[in-house]
Formats: sequence, structure tokens, C-alpha cells
Amino acid sequence: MTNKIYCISIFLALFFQGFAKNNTNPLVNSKLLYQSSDYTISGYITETGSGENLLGVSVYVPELKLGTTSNDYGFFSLTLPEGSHEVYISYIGYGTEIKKLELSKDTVWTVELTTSTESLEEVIVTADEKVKESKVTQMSTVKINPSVIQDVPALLGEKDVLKTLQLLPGIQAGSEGSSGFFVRGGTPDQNLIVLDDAVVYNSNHLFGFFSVFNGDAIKSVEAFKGGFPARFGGRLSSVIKIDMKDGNKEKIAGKFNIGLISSSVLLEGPINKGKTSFIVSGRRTYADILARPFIKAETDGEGAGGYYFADLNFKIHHIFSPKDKIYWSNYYGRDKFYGETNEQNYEDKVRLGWGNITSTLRWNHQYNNKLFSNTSLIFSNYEFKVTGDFKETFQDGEVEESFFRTSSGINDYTLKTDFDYFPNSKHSIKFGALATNHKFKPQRILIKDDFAGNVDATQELNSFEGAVYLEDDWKLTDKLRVSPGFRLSYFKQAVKQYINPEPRLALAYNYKPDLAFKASYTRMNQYIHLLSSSGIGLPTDLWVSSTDRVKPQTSQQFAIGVAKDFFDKDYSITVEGYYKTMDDVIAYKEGASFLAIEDLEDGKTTNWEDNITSGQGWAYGGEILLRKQTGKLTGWLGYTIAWSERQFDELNLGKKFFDRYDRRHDISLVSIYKPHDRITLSATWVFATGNNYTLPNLQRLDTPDGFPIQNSSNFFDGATQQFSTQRNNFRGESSHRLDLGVQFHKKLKKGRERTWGFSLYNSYARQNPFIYTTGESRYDFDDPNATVENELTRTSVLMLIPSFNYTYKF
Amino acid sequence: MKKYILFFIATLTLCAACQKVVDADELLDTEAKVFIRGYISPQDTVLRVHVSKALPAFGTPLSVRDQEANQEKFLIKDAQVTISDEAGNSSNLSYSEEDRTYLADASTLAIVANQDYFLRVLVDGQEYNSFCTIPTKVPEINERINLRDDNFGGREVDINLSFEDILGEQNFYVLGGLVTTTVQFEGEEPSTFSFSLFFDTDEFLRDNLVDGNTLSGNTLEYIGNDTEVIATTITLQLANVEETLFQNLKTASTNSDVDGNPFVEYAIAPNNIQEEGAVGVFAGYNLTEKEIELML
Repeated sequence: MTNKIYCISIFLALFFQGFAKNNTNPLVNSKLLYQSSDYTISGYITETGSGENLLGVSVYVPELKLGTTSNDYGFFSLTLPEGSHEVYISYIGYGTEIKKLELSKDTVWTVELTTSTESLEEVIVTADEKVKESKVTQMSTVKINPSVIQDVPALLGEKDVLKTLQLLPGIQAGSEGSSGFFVRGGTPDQNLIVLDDAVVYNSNHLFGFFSVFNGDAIKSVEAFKGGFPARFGGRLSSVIKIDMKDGNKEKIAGKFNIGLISSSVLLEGPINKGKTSFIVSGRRTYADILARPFIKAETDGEGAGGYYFADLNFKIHHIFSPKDKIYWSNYYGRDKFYGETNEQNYEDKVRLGWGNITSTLRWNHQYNNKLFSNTSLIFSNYEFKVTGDFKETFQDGEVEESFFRTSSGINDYTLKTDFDYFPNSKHSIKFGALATNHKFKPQRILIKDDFAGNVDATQELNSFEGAVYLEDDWKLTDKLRVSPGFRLSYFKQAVKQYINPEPRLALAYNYKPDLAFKASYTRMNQYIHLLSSSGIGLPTDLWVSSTDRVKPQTSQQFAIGVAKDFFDKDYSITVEGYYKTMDDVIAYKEGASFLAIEDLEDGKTTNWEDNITSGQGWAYGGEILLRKQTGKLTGWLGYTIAWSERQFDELNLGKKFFDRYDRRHDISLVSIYKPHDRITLSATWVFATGNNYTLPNLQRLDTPDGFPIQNSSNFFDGATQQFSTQRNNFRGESSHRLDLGVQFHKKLKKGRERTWGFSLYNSYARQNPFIYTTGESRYDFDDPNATVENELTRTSVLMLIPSFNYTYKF
Repeated sequence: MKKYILFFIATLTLCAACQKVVDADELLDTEAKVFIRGYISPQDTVLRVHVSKALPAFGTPLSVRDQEANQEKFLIKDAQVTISDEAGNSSNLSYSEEDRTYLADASTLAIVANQDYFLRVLVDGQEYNSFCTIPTKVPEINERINLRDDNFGGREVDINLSFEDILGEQNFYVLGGLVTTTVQFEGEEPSTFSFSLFFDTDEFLRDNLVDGNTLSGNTLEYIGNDTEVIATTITLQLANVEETLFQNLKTASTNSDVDGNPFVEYAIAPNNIQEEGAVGVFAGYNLTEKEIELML
């Protein structure tokens, strides 16, 4: 069966290409179809100086109210009637370029845009004709300019994509300092995070404190919270699309950054000028290196240990011809925790490591001025591994050696092809197919222990996921745009197969040119699931497949909204409401915890399917985003009101309960102020209602119950026993904090620049809850009347954390 | 491994952490309730229902040394407790100071399989009600016992307990047992002591996957084989229990097993008391036992 699917996938790819090749004369075809003198302008939009392709650039003709945007590879195609036109080409952070054109034949343009700060006088900067919120059909989508990520204050100076996204409405942080996020009442595993087409399974470093994305190498970040286009699938709640830079095609450039906990370096440039470019960037923390001599001194040389994380991004872009380009992008990230003991009679060496590897080979082909394709071969890997080696020498000279190796992970091999087809100015069509072979390894254990016995066991699960999709952005009238889409997804694990249609629809009605009412409906399926005990992104979290016992998760989301642009002030405001239902969502059964740390060393095998249960979810709420993206002062104010509920037959006695991250109110205020090109001031203030926890709320006498079978729970000691009557019965305290940042820039000779950055995380030292624990109060042992009671203790972390970093660009 | 992770977390916490005791009363529903628990079965010799107070887990100071005073805070001694059957027969249970619970002789009310029983508790003028149905008794237990030498020079017994699930109904089973050993030291009278058999992950079984199938559980136990041991008897126990009783035992067991593990959700105690203001479980079970004498 799997072979058949592969064949179908390859056939589809070839079919689409064949279809495209037949359509080699667009002019003739266009005339035959429409019998009008329409011509097409097409080409690529790049950045001046670096040749970097720019995606999402607006190409707009105001007099005709017609426009398009460049695709992920900078390609655009716009069909217009014969005659003279003024075409506005604009992009946030760049100037707007106006091109006058006498259109009497198909035209190919190569457009270069210059960043706003470097704009020359002849580039006219206007704010009124960019692609605004009110002018796109898509809703529930937010784009973040990488410069914003560099500007907002960050914990320990580590610029973080995912933490910046958490500042947007509808995207919520998990716990204090964590880069894990929850979108519209979903769970972290319902977020599809793609880096250059490759799925990134674990987006966390340092147990969730930092994300794996090194901001230096990122070109664009786009978050979809709802109204998902049909080209995306496989997760219920969000798509976070991250694109890496292609590398400077004109000159060698780079930068290095020295921070408090890590340093990073980036180098990019041409290998063959104008044809081939590369970019490589790396980052490593060094607390372990700095601490090494202290640990050695503290343990008299008998101990060593530490932790670090590192990332490496590497990409090559080669232009074979204006119509054929390839990109090879790679990511390698690793967290490693290590410890060693070297005593006279005892030695041990323990390693705990986890990380992602992704590799994407993409081929762009432009068949003609209306049809563009990208075909990708993608590899994605996540592995969590713990190893330990032990050696003990006994007094009689006997040496006993043992070791354990345990790991879990997933490997994905994907073939994907996507087509962009621009038949005329009314339609922008995308279609394609993908096929992924998932290889899950829930647990691999190898133990050599002469005393307790040897273990060699592997759990493996293979599955196939495929999909075909078609979507159109259709301009029905000047005021009404419709974006229908359809995705057919397929999943197979062993003999179990699932085929699910996923209709998508988005509507936008322009009541006024700057005011649009929007609505969307999406149906999503998710075939792979994350088993997470904590929800904070621990490396022990485990990806598993749908099986005959574990059904795919499905969701339906309805959203309505209003988008209003204030052209003269360059503000935009969006207000959205959503209602999402989720079926067959999974959770651990009460008391179950897979791969808890204590299970790792003893090789205890657990069938994960026995530990989970499925249920339903409901999420609904409203979001407001007021945003200003140009000028000296930029930033946004976001507010979310939300509810997130769950019901599982096997949890909370089958009764509905609020999810742990059901967060009623969430506010974020982000401001970036650049009075001139030598200084950047930034501040973020966030407020969030507390998370829910399950705590024992009552206590009773521990007396015999009369039940004749004794188990671990009914050893009665006459004292008291605590119990809980409701899941998530305790809502933690609200948290808020203010982060401040300042950057001093200095332009040096030959276009070089150095920046000193200072930031203060949680500047008024608010003690926000990180975790709650229970325990007994202290008492005076000598007091005969001493009493003791249970206490709830809040642990707060990350208060008033200053940091600095130094960046040098060349 | 764990010590390294704890060291790491401790270091991280010390760097920038602060702990503060917070007032849980404002954050948690902490209303005191009446706690009721009664499990009844046809094998009972005594009908037993515990009625006491469930006090807030936080904000209830208890004496360090005076356990009697602590218990007094919880005990309810003047409740009216009645169990009745479908035919209207009833038995009033009286408070026992010794057991700190309400008791009645089982002969006052026949407990029969597949019959409904009703509990009525009156505390301070408030009435609390619940009911239960006695499950069917599993007719037969089968066992496979493997007695062998262990790695430490002793003897261990590997026990497999199996039975046929009762067809056509949803069932919940609790497995257990006892090992009773009789020893006689030179010049002394024989004495007997018992300890429990634990079926670990097989302790709680249900028929949700297949109805009417054979279900089984395993346990491995050390058995004394000293020369003083004159007899060893294994009593296998299997209770067909109502779902609320199953959940109540399993919840307590689960919470006890994972106590202190922050990565496991606290399990929720069931409640089948109909009125607000009280929590607890009134449930039925039916016990099957089988004694096997081990030939050491």
C-alpha cells in the first residue's frame, strides 16, 4: 500500500509538471481563454546589496485596484490590461517603489528594494498602498519582521523568535520564561513549526527557556492561528513558518554577537558572484566552559559537569538560470547535559542530549510567467538520548562495569511539490502534494548490567502521511474576495488507514477601502501526537503516531473579524473572534507519566498507548491587535480573552474542565522607538491570567475502609489523607512584567556597524509564579502545642535579570 | 542521572529564584464538606460506613503531637446512617468509638448481588443520599503457580491469577491476595503471620477492550523457606467492584505512587453523593477468594 502511495505521489508531481510544460506559451493561452489584451508582468523581487529574495512584497496597481504579492521565493506575476499603469511595489521595512509602465507585451522585471534606513531620495516612501490588513483575504495571520525580533528586549539577551511570537494575541506563553506556546486554546503539539519546509519537532533549548531558532539567520516569520490555507495541514492549532536567509550574493558579509550566556557568528557571501551564495551561522552557550575550573576545584578534580546548547544553520543557494534555482538548507541543534565522576574506586560518565536535524533540498522552477513550482526533499530528525557508563572497583580488585543507552525520537522523509499559478488578475491558485514517511522510535533501550541483567529492546512505529491540496485567492468583485481551499489528507500506520477531507474557506468583504469584514472556516487533522507530561517542552516529550487505537485529532475552527487600516497614521487594528472544537485530543491518563526521568535508567518499558486517553476540546475567545509598523515609534498592543475546555471520559470523572493553560486575559504592549539611527529603545509589558493546576483541596481521616484487598493506597495510619475533587481546581496568580532594552549603534567605515545592547528582564522584579508546590509548615519542636499545616509555596524565577550583548556587523 | 538534573535545576533556581508561601484560601475552593465512605458486599460480616468531615487541605492547623485532638476535628459522632434495600428493609448503623466509624451487624440487612442499596446520612439536619448496586460474583479463579529458587538462595513464587470476565456487562476488577505463613520455633507454639500480595500494574483490571475474555494478573513474591516454616497458604482475592469504587481505589493508589512527581497530574477522587456539601463513595463489590496451600 505504501508503495502505491509513493507511486501516486510521484505521479502527481509529474502530472503537475507535465501540465505546466504544456502551458508553455502563456500569451497564446491567455488570449484563447480570455480574448482580451491582457499582459503579464512577472519577475523576482530582491534586496539591494544582498540579492536576498523578498517574500510577501506587495505589487499593486491602485487605479485598477489589482495587485499580488511575491511568493516565498520572491517571484510575482500580475496580469493587467494593455495600457499605461503605475505599479507600487512596497514592503514593510523597505521603501515603496513606483514604476510607470506602458504595457503592450508580457514583461519581465527584476525589482530591487532598499531598506528604509538606507533608502535613497529617489525612492518615494509612501504608506498608503502597501498590503494592509484590510486588503488581504487571509485572516488570523501575523507576520513578524526579523528586525523586530532583534529589537525587542530578550531574556539574557538571547533574541528569540518564539518568545516574540508569544507577544501577539492568541499566542500564549506556557510558564514564566518558557518558549513553549499555546495558540487559541490548543496544545504545543498542535503547532506546526516549519523551518524552510522542514518540520521542527522540538523547538526548545534548555528545558524550554530558549527556542532553537537563531535569529541571525532568519529572513521571515509568519504565524497562522486560524483560517489556514489548504497548503498547510497536519496540526490543529497553528502554523509557524520560518524562512532562512539565502545568503548574500554580492559580497562577503557577516556579524558576530557576544552575549552573556552565548555567542553567535554569521557569515554569508557569494561563492560564484550573482549565481551561488552561502550562509552559515552558529551559536553556542558557554556557561559550562566558564564553570569547568570551579567544578574541578570544588570536587578536587574528581568531578566534571555542565550544560550547553548549540545551533548551526547552513544554506546554499544556486541560480542555474533565471528559471531554475536550488536551495539546500540545513539545521543542526543540540542540547547536551553531561556529568563525570572520577573517584579512586568509582567512575561514571553520564550524558543527556537532545536536538533536531533538518535538511531541505528545494528546486524552484518557473515554467512561464504565470506558473512557478517548488519541489522539496526534506529530512527532519529529533532525538533524545541518555547514556551512562559506570565502573566500580571493589576491594578484592574485582571490576564491575555497566552501561545504559536509551533514546527516543522520530525521523521524517518528505517529498513535497507546490505550484503557484496566476492565470489572471482575479485568481491566485496554489496546488500541490506531499508524501512523508514517519519513522517513530518511542523507546530504544540497551542496558548492560551483570548484576541486574541485560536489556536490549526497541519500539518502532512506521507510518505514512500524504496530502494533496488546491487553493485559490479569488477576487470576485472589487469588494469581495474569496479564498476556497481543499486538502485531502491520508495516513497509514500498519494496516490502519485514515483518509480525511479538509475543506477551507476564507472571505473578505471591503465595506470601505480601509475596512474589511472577514470570516473563515477550517477543518484540520493531526496524525501525530506529542506525549507531554508537563507541557513546558521537556526533552522527554515524545512524538507518537496515530494507530488503530489512537485516532487522529481533528478540529474545526470558525472565525470572524474586522480589519481596519488608518492609512494616514499607518496604524492597523484587527478584531477577531473564534470558536474551535477539537476531537480525539489526547492526554495522559491520571497517574501516567511516560519516560519520567526515574524510568530511564531501569529500562522500564511502557506501552504508550495504554497510558493515554482521548477526549474533546473547546476553545473560544476574542483577540484585538492594534499595530504600527512604520515610523520612529513602532509596536503593538495585543489583548486576548479566551476560554479553553476539555472533556475526557477517563479524566476528572468524565466531567468537563478548564485546560491548564486556559487563560482568561492576556495583554501585551510592545514598543520600539528609534529616534535616530544611533539608538533603539524598546519596552514590552505583558500581563497574563494564571495557569490552572490540580491540587488537593480537602483532607480527611485515614481510617480503614473495610475493603478486603489491600493495595498501596489503603495502608491506614490514622493520620489524614489529602484528595482533590476537581481537575485544574486551582488558578495560579496572574503574572506581569516589564522588559526594557536599549541598543547603541555606531556606523563604521566600509558599511560596518557595531551595536551595544543592554536589556533588563522583569525590570520591576515581579515575583511571577513558575511552579507551585505543597508541603508542611515549619514548627517549633520544643513547643508541646505546636501545630502544622499544609502550605502552598510559589517559586518565582527570573526577576530583574540584566544582560548585555555586543554585535559587530561587516 | 537524577542527581545531575537536580543539581542543574538547583543551580538554575539559586541563580534567580524566590520562594514564598502564598495564601491558598484565596486561590483554592476550600469549603469544608462531609466525607462519606461505605463499601458493602455479600461477604460482609459488618456493614461499615465512615462519616466524618473533609477539611480544607490548606489552612487547617493540626497538632504535631496530639493525634486524638486532630481526629476530633474530623469526627462526626452524631450522624444518622441508614442503609436500605429495594424492598424497603433497612439497617441503622451506630457510631463505634473504637473504629471511629458507623457499624451494624451484616445480619441486619442481606446484601445480595445485582440488588440496589440506598444510603441515607443525616448530619446537622442535612440529608445526604447515595446508592449502589452489588456486582455479580466471579464464579471461579484459576491460578498458575511456579515455585522456584530465587537469586538470593531463597524461594520465590510466581503467581498468575486468571478468570473469565462476566459477559454482557461492564466490569471492574481489583486483584490481590495474602500469603499466610505458619512457623514454629523449637520449643514454641506455632505462630501465623500474613502479608499482602500486590499485582502492581495488574492490580486494577477492566473489560473495556474485550467483553467476556479471560483476564489475568501476575505477581512475584518472596516466600520464606526456613526450616521453621511449617505451612504456607496463598489466598487469591478477586473483587468485582462498581466503577466508583474502582476509581476511588485507583485514584488513591495512583496519587500515592506518584507523590512528589511534579510531572504527573494529581488524580481526582470520585464522588457519588447526590447532594452538595458532601463528598465520598458508597459502592458495592463482590469478592471471590481461593486458598492454595504451597508445598514447599
